[in-house]
Amino acid sequence: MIEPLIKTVKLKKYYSVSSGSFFNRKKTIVKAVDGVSIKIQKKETLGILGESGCGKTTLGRLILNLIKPTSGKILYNGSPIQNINPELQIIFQDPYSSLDPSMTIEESLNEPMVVNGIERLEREKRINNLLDNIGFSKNILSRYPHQFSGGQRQRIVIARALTLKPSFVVADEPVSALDVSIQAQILNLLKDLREIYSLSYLFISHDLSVVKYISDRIAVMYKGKILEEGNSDDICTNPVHPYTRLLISSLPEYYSQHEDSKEIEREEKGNCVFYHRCPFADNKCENAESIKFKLLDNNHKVRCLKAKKFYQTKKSG
Amino acid sequence: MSKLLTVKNLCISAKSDKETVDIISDVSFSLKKGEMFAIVGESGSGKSITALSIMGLLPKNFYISSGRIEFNGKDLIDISTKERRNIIGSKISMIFQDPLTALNPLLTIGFQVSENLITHGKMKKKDALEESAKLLEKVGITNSRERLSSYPHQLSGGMRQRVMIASAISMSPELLIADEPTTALDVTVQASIMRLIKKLCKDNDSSLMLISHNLSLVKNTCSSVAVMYSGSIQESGLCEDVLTNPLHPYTKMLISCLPKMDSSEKLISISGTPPAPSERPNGCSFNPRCPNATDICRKKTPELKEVKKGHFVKCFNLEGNQ
Repeated sequence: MIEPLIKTVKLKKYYSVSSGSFFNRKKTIVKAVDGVSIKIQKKETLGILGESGCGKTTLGRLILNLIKPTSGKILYNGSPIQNINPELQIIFQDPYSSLDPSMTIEESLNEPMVVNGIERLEREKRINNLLDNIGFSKNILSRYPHQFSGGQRQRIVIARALTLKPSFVVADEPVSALDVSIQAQILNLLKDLREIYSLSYLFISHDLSVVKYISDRIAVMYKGKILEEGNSDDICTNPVHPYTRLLISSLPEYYSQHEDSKEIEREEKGNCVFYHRCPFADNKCENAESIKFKLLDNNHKVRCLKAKKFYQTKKSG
Repeated sequence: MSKLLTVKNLCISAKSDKETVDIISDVSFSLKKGEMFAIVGESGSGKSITALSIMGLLPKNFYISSGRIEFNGKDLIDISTKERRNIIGSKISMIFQDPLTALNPLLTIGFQVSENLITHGKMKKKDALEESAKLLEKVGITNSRERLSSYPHQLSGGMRQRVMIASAISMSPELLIADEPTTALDVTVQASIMRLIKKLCKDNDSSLMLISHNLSLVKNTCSSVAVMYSGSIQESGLCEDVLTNPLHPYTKMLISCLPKMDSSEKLISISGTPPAPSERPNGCSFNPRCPNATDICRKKTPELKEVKKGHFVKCFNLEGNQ
């Protein structure tokens, strides 16, 4: 088997949070990422789909070693990642805060290469090449970030992430701060750059249609756990986990079909993280020791006791 | 059906130390009773300013330079502050985009929801709180009685938006303006909030004016729509006309740049960026980004023409676009 480019093994990140009044402090543990194992092959895009607070951003930062995991392993080309690796880069969500306002574009683009000791001639060559690929001319180099719109800034941020010739890029909600007409430009740019530089992406987003457009595979995250993982087409056309189905039926395109789908709220119990919102949960779910992935066909994995049953009724129905 | 709200040739300008810039130019639309109407557009297109002008909440340096806003036949621009106060909050109310900044962090939920009932409904405080609890229940907040004494920071984003909705509908307004009511929320919450707004409007027979950038949300909520770009309406009409058979190149491209769930074709993107209000081009404001722009588009501004009953388009090149 080919060694995956990035592999995480039971990655965990717990934070302890104190709450309650001054005299009555309580410490609780928040499981931001709870036992996530993913594999990303070369030139592959894995989309992480989830709502705010599900741990998708924490997962991205763990993989880059920007934060230390509580436990678990991250392997890059088969060996554990030490320190911060320049071959792994990140594109942040907000293009307004990710460029230094007091630096010209040229200084911003140069900084990572200077830090990593790349010679001046090589730096110029790389910058020229990148500017071509992101559709800017050379005269933008002397300008400052405030002279650009959000979409243009995001393109510069993308170019900066690519200056060190990474093989893997975490894109953390790169289009959610942008307008629709600009969003398409950036998505197409990311797709083109993937071909040109043979990149792999971990594409983090809450927007299902965006994730589907750019990803080969999708992993759906909820409360720090991956609940369903599979090829993007399988996830979108044949979702099995009740949470994935809820996400898809929440798209305005499907409102009419799910107009009266009931929202459930019950106490959090048992080991299934979705138990308190699941319309299909029963005693079995409540008492289950652990909820393991069930493998359906085609690398489609679902973390649900009833996955097989849902899958078959879908297939036959 | 009679017209509830008529906006006619509305122009809004902004004054700064150096210059006066037109923000909104020549915007006209009307709403019938019980109608669900949407304004879509990107940021900076002027959709929120249009809504704020109806509420009389324009920022300090903005002013209405010409045009009329009529509500139930009554002019809303030259009205005295006292009269306006009688209408705003009881007949017209608004749900703001960000529930965190729209609620006062120092006041309890009960106070903020009942405030409207006390001022407009002339209720006693005790009755108003009782009524507020009922309203909170109506918008799907459990333990509503206990919630009355909580503060905004103790609630989640979706819950806060529900509180905003509860206070907005407390007087069963005839017109509900919702400015991007779900943008700050997660998708699953978004769906339930939109369902709630739709249901409440139906129950109260209120009209809804939804401001959004989300085309599919608009398509599935409203019956008619106006597409705004760079401060003016480019295309308007019934949703089924405008969003399924768009005629304006901007609307067409806006639809084609959304990723679709059922296809993975390459997205068509609109090159360039929307112009800032002070840098709008001569002629049609979309011409620098339009693939079919000709000389006339760069010189003259097109007018909003009716191409089909109720379907208006602002473009010279209609034949070329069909």
